[in-house]
Amino acid sequence: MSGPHRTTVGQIARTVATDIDTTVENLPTVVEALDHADRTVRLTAMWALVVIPEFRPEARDGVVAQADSYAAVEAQFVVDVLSDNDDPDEETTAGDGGSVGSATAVAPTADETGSAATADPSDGSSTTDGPPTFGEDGPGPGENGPGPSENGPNTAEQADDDPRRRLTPEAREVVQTVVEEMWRAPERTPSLLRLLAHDRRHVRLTAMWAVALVAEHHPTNVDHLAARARQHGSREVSFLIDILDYYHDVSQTEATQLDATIAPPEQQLNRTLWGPYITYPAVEDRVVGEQSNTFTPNSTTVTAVNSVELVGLSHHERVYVVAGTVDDEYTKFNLHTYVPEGRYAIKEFQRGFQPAIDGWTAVDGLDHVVSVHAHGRTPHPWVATDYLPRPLWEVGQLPPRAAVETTVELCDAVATMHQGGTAHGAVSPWSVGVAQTTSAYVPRFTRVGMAANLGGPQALRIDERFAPPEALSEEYGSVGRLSDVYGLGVTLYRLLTGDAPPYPRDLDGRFVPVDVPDPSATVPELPAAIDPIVQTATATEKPWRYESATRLAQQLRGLLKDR
Amino acid sequence: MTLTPLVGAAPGTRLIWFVGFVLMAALSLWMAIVARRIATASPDSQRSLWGYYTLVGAVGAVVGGVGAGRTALAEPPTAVAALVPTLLLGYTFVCALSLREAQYNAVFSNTELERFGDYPTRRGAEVGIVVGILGVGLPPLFVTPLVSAAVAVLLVPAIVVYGGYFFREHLRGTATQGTLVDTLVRHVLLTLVFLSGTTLATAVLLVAPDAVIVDSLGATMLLLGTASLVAVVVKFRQHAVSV
Repeated sequence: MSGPHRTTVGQIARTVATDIDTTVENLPTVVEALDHADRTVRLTAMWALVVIPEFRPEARDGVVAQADSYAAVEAQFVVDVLSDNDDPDEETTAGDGGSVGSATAVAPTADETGSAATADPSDGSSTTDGPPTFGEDGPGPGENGPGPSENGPNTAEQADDDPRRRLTPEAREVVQTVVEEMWRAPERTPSLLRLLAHDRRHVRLTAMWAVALVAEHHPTNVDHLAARARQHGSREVSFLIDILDYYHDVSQTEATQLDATIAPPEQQLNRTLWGPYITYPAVEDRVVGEQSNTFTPNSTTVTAVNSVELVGLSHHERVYVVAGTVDDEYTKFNLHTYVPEGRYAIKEFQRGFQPAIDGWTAVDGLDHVVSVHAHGRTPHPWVATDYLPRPLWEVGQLPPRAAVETTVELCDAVATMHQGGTAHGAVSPWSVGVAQTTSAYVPRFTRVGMAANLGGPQALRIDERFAPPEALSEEYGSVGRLSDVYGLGVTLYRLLTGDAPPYPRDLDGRFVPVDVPDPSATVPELPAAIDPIVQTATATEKPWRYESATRLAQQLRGLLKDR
Repeated sequence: MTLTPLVGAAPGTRLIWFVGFVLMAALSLWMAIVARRIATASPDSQRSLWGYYTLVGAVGAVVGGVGAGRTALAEPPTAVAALVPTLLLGYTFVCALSLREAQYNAVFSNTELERFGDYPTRRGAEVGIVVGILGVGLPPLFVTPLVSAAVAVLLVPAIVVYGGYFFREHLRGTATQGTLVDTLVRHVLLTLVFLSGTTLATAVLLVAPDAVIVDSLGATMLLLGTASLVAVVVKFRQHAVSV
């Protein structure tokens, strides 16, 4: 279960993306969402209502009439957009009795969309042709989404057959990104901005909506978004700027200055703005033969057969699942390899590896720490550990009590690590593996001490949204035990809300400290008493953060006792 | 009025006073150095707070040094005699200001408003007040011991109430316990309270030099205050490692 607003955003967006007819049938519900308390829902409803007439022109007047009865600014935007019929690029069939424009107009324009189109996994007959799964109103992570039948018999197939009945692949990919992978939206911002100049209006409107939602998640970037959006002259850009200005008070001066200084769009758009784990490492992994997928460890404890699967990837770290023997028992285990590249020299990397592995092995007997079976330094550092099927990240949102109890367990594990003289250095939902028993999730720390010794969290598979400020900027001091407290706080936030904090960088990659939102603001059902605990655990400044994981655990236990 | 030794008036307490002032000077000097180092290495939003702690340490070092010198001398100069309670008054005021600053930083930190944590004008004015208090005590030509004692007796309770108010505000904040700042303000409050007691005792001694009980009480308060300072300095050292 997720916050109701997330569910509603997903419901509206998925329906629009997969079946316009169903959306039209449920028009009153969508219109009512213009009055929703959550801004992202209102923005999504706004988008749905301006896109529907692109495919069903006969619905335009009804939408305008209904939206006009709402006071929300989004409703006024709906009226304004739908009243704006002067678009020279208009490809829809307003006035042609419900048929949609020419075939050339509706054909996908991959050449216009660059990476957005080329990276589109949903194009053609790909797996996302069915209704995309998203949020928490579908099955859990890793499971299959609801079948097409949930949206009526064969609606998806009909839609596939008739491109006039559904959004273009570019627009659908934007929807998928927003609904399922909002955490990747910032890195796709250049593509989104480019879609503002697309030749189809509904794509531009979809990009407008997506950029507005990115701005919601990254309020510190609004001026940059506005400035870059202005470089793509279209009416939708004007609407977007109005929306951003209404909610975020876009700085005209700064935007003007940025307009003058920003490089041409072609130069900006090829950049990867966030997410170091997006970039595939250029250096070959010599621990695992990438061509043969073999792992032959120089170890008496661990042996492997030719069954190696890559399951995790970042700049310097790769995670594999290996079938082999551990202490003569055939089993699966995880293999982490650390491959330095760029400014990290192999010797420096190997030097840092030893204290890291020493710290890890010193605490790997703990219940909540993954055991190290074997490790080596050549040809690159590697560690063979217990098998963990998935990271805590994929668990998403838990019921409040379970989320707090899980975090208390993690706090206790971290406290024990600290007592043993080891700091994890990069606590996040990605660095906690989950071994699911028949009755419960058992969280276990992995990558203990690696981030602190191997180039910092940015070098490993660390999501910067969960990284403490001191890991991203030297101004905030060094990574240590208090960093683990921060990591526990954001992990708690993730477990409570299923969401992640905003990205701590602006569009130019500069670190910008952000506040972790109050969990109860994201999920209103949560008790407000949890908010100050999360806030204190994730304080940007160390002096205002809990001094130890034990302190955080005490606060959380007090909360459990009160409930 | 003829001035007689102001502290260490009771037999046997002079050594306690001396040890107390030496400890205070050493710990405060250490505190000032560490706080200064932390301030330099910290983000702008924290510099104001660590700046105040630096001031607390610096003033404490001066008070401790002068106090130790005062009790070491058999016949203390009149200027030094009058200086001790006034300096202690200034020190308690700086402690109260640091409590206030911790609360202001807590309110403004971790938000977009953190830049407001640094008020150059306000800080300058407050430092000016502290320097003024110290300056008033310096020349006994301008202030008689009686006036000095009266000022201390009148101002110390106000200063304690001022610091206590911000401590209460800190306690009323949500989820404030268990942080470094929480530990610091608790120990600084103890330092403030104990050294306020010392200030009052020295003020009373200034006009009633034969008050043995007051003399002993003041010496005890001084030792308790320096014990609280130990906890503050230890916390400073722990924090300095991570910045």
